[in-house]
This record gives sequence, structure tokens and C-alpha cells, in this order.
Amino acid sequence: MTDSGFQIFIVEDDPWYGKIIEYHLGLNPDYHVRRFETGKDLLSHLHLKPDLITLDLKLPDMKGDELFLKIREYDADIPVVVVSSQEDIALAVKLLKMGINDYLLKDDATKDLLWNSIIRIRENQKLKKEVESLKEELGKKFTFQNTIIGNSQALQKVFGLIEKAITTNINVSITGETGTGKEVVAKAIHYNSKRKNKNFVAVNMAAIPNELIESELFGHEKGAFTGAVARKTGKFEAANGGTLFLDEIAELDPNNQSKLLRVLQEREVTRVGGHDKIKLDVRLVVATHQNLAEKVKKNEFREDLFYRIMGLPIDLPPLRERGNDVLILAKHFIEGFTQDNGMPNISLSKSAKEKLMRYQYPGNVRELRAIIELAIVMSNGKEMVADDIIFNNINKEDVFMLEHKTLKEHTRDIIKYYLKRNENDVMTTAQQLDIGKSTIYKMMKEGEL
Amino acid sequence: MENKLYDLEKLDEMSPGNAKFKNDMLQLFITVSTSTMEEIKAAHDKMNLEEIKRLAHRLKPSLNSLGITSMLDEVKRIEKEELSEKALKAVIMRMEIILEIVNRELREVKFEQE
Repeated sequence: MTDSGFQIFIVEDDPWYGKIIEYHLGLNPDYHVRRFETGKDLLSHLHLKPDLITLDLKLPDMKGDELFLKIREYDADIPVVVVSSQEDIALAVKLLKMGINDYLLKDDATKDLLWNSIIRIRENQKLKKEVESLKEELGKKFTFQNTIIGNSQALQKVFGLIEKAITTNINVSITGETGTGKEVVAKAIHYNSKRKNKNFVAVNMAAIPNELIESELFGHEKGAFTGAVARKTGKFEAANGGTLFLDEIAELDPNNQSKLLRVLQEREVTRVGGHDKIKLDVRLVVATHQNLAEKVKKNEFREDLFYRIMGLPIDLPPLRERGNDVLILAKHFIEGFTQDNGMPNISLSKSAKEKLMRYQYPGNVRELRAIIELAIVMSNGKEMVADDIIFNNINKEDVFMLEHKTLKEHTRDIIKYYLKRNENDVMTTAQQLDIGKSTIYKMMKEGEL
Repeated sequence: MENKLYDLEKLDEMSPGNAKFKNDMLQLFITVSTSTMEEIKAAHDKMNLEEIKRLAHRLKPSLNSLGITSMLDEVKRIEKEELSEKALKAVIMRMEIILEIVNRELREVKFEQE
């Protein structure tokens, strides 16, 4: 579309009818209509990039379908509407299969039908452009620089693995505590791989009841079971050519594990209640916060499926093991939140940095983000100080801090908590709490710990 | 009921209030149909049936819009029927006569600006 409007080329050898269409479409000031009497004449003007072409089928120099193919050769995206007096259904079907956008019969209603057809085509074009630009934005959004933030060694290792995943089609299994960014990594792999122009489809296995998983993943035909009122495309089919992300894969029950294994082995899927086999070309990325190998040992997860989906394992480090990444991420979240809310950027005071670095983040990056966003709101709008930062985690290990206890009881609980975290290493615990190790030994001796 | 040779109701509905457009369209029809009729006769002289069909087909929308149904019927016969040489000649002659009368009358029509 040009800046000055929507350019429509009419190919019509009947000057009378051409003039009617020209006049009618010209009632829209946004439309710039130009008429050509022959196919050759049109072809020599395609460089002017029309936004839409209407085509008569009986032209003096060539047949309409022949001209349509020549237009397609030149530009596969120009919408073409056939306007013809030929009441030939077979021909109309043939042309529609060839890719014309609409077939209209020349009669009294044509001008209105054409008007509506052009509106529909323009809406479709607009949507198509929006989808393209959203895909492009999504691609930019999921570049490494924008999504996986940090410089720690633990993260550098992850970057190396993601690079390997991007350049191949290997399945990927992502492990890591909740909030470490498993889906972010899966998207980064997809949007930086050759599959980026196809779909990224994410499914949380824990969120779907077992009895619905088969239909959700593989789709179903109309009438396959009670309630199947229409055909449903499964997630595998939706992700064909792209990436399927199965989150919380460890939650899959044994029955569905077998079905998933079969689909992965055969690389084809049959909708529930259907017969047609649909060939699949899907990159599978799975994720779990559980130890899948342990589940295999306990016979809770199929060993053959485990090896089939494991592919390239990527273990995401918890935030507490990423050192200064906490501050890099904090600054990133501050920047994002202030920008999104039209606020000036906020700096981190020394006390705030120290407080952030001391915390353990059981909810990982997700929790840090929530803490920072709340702290921005609590801050004076210029600098974030320690008091603005509120740790509100619901991890049961920290709940004891909220209970009403004597100082002695709290002391005991704190030492117990640190001992557990340090695997009963008294020396490390004493150092961390800045107390004498004899204090801990004494409490142990007295049966307080 | 009067058997009219043409009916300008559809043309009128196409552009209510725009007399210039309607007068232009009538003039255009007279010019185009006359030249097309000449082309049909030339194609007939060469017995080029495909060309006769194409040209007759091209007349259909305007004949339909101006309600010139008698001539439209003749065009449909050319398009759809396997006419003998003699029948085809007769159809073309009838078309020429109808067109001559219609165009003579249309030359007298003038839409007035409302």
C-alpha cells in the first residue's frame, strides 16, 4: 500500500463495464483506480506495485488464468479478484485453488460484492502485516541479549548450550528450579533457530487433566468422543515446522507417556478418532523442575521416553548461585518497569544492593522481578533503598521468621535452618552467622538442635 | 405491459443524482456497442466464431445494466448454442437492428441534474 492510498488495477476489456467499476470504487477517496484493457498492458505496469488487481477472464490477448499465473510469478502477494460473466463453477473452483482471492460474477450485485471483497482483503492484509510485525518483534524480544540477562559463569555455560541447540534440531530438556526461566530459554532457542517463522507452542502438562492430554496434544476428529463437537487441531500439529514446549513433563501419567513415545518414534500423529496420519517435523523442548532420572529409577517415568526426550540437557542455575547477576537483573527489571510505566529510571542504593545480594530467592528470577517491581512502587522514585525491598516469599523454610517466638527459639530455628542448608557443616554455618562454632556445638550437646 | 427495448432503472440506481455520469455511460454504450457490432460483423465475415463469442460476451454487462433484454437473449444464443451458419447470420442481423433502434432512442435520452 502506498502512503497516498490503496492502488487498484482493473483488467477489463469492456470499456463500459470497466468504467462502472472504476466509478464505483472511486467513490472511496482512498482508492486509486486504474484500468487496463489487455493482459500485456497490465503486466507492463506491475512495477507500480498495485495493492489489488481485478481480472476479467476473457481478454483479447490472453486467458485470465494464464494472466493470473504471470501476476503470481511477478509477485506472489498481490491479491487478485476475478470479475467475470462466466457462470462456470468448475472454472471458479479451479481458480480459487490456484490462489485467487475471490471470484465474482458480473451482475447487478457485483459492484457491492467487489466493494465488500476489497474490504475483507484489506483487513486480511492488515492482519497479516500485524502478525508479521508481531513475529518480528517477538524474534527481537527473544534474542539472548534481551531475555537471558547476566554475566555469571553458570549462565555462560547455559549460553554455550543454547548456541548448540540453536544450530541443530536436537530435542532439548531444560531443568531448573521454579522461576529460573525454563520457558524463556525454550523461546530463545526457538526464536533464534531456523524454525523461528513457524509456531512456538507451549503446553503445561501439569495444567491439563490426564484424560484430556491425548486430545490436547494430538487433536481429535468431530464425534471422536462425547463432547467432541468439532475437529480440534492438536498441539503437535499446531507446532508442525516449529517448536513444541512441554513444560512439567514429569507430570505425564504412564498411559500418556506411552502415547507420546509412539508419536516421537514414528514422527507422525493421528488425531483421536481419526485415521489420517499427519507427518510431523517438530523440535521438542521439555522442561521440569523435578529430577527425571530419579523418577525413572522409581519406575514413575518410562526410561525409553526419558532417553528419547532428553536430547541436549540444559540445567538452569538457581539465582542464588549466579552471584552478581542479581544486581544486573535488578537493574534490567528497574529499567523495564520504569520505561513501561513512563517513570524516570531509579538507581540502587548501596544498602539496597547489599540487601538484594544477601537474599536466597527461592522463587528465583521470577521472584526477583516481583520484589523489584514492588520496591520501585515503594521507593521515592529516584533511589531504591533497603527499606523499599520487601521479601514476601511463601517458602515454608522462612515462615518461622513470621511466627511469634522467643529470641532463643528464633535463634535455634535460624541455626537449624543454616545447618540444614549447609548440610550440617558447623564451620560454614558459624561463619555465615558470625557466631562461634562452640555456640552451635553447645546447643547440639544440650539437645536444642 | 409495454415491451420496452431498454430499461434505464439499473443505470439510475447505480449513481443516484449523478446525471453527468449517467449521460457519459449512455454515450459510452453507444460508442462501444457500435464499434463492437462492427467487430462482430468483421469476425463473422472471417467466420471467426471464437472472436464473435468473445465480443458478444463483452457486451453482456452493458446490455444487462441497460435492460436491453432482447439483444441479451441473442448474445446468450451465440455463447451457448451451436448455431448453423445461417442461424448465426440471422442472430447477428437481429442484434444489429435492435442495437440501431436502441442507440437511436438512447441518443435522445438526457438525464437532468436533480
